[in-house]
Amino acid sequence: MAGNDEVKIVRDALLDEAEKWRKLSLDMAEVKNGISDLALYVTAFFCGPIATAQMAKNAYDPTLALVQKHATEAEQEFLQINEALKRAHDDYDAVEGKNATDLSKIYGN
Amino acid sequence: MPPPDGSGQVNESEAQLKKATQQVGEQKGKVHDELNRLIDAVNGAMSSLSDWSWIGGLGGMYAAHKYAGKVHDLMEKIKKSVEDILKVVQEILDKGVPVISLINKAFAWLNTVQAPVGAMSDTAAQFTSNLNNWDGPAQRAYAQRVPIQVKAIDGLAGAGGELATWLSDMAATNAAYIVSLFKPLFDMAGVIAAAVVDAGTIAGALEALGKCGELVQTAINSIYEGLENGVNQMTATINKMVDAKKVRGELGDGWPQMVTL
Repeated sequence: MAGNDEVKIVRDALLDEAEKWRKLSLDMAEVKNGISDLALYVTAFFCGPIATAQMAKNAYDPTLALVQKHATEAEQEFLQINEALKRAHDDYDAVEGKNATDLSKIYGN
Repeated sequence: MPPPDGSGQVNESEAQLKKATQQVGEQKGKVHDELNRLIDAVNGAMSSLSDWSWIGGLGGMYAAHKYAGKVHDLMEKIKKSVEDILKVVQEILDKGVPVISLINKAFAWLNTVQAPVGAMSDTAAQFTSNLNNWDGPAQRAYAQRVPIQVKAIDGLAGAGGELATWLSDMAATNAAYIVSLFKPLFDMAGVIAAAVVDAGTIAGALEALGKCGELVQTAINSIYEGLENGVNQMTATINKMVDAKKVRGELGDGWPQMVTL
């Protein structure tokens, strides 16, 4: 039946889309791990007064930490999108899928 | 879309840093060589002075001895000042070695963050084929929320590029600092070389060394002044602090939440 075929196509596409985000989460995990190698010693900034080098490091460190926080949260978020799409897949059928209004079941509040 | 690759700028900063340390290292070698030439020339003049001083009798020998003593003291003073400053130059060059890690990390920001995160942008933005058959509120909510994720991905890739630039700028600032700090060193080799001819004569040694000593001391003083205040370096670094803060501001406190379950 055409209706059932369409449901299958959409449900398969939702699983493919979910898988895409799982892979993106893995890629982001790799980025996150790489960021931990980007720390710098104060000596790297040294040239002239030591206070200047320390000042540069004090600007670099929180920026590095924030980028790492973003990568960590992105990795988790992508995995959550993967799970949300799998929920959308599980709940989906041609009629209810189109009319469902309880989005919180899929995405939360 | 993520910003373009910034490896050209990092390469340029790396070249500047290498050039700066190489130039200063070469000048240091030149000053050292010219100093040795000057010492040899003065020693030659003074040894010929003692060969001829007997002609004037006892008085002449005494005058020659006194003159040689003055020349010797001046030469020793110049030698010590120059050797001391060359030690300082070497210390700064040694301390400048770790600065190259700014360049290494700048490349790492491009390769570890900017390029791979930038590559995620299109993948995240483009829906799997057949997903356009999906319809309804869940689909609409998804279509509305994905661009926010894509924007955050682009922002993170952009931060990677900006931090690469930030580090390479810092390395370039240090290169400029090394060159400006030791600019007087570039004159010093010439000043000492200019004194060699006259200092190698009995009649001209004292005057030539006196003049050379003054010029060398002026150059040395300006290096010490540069070391002490470091104002330009401080200002350049403070300006860069603002850029790091800007990157943090652009990123925001955390990643946008599309799903909260």
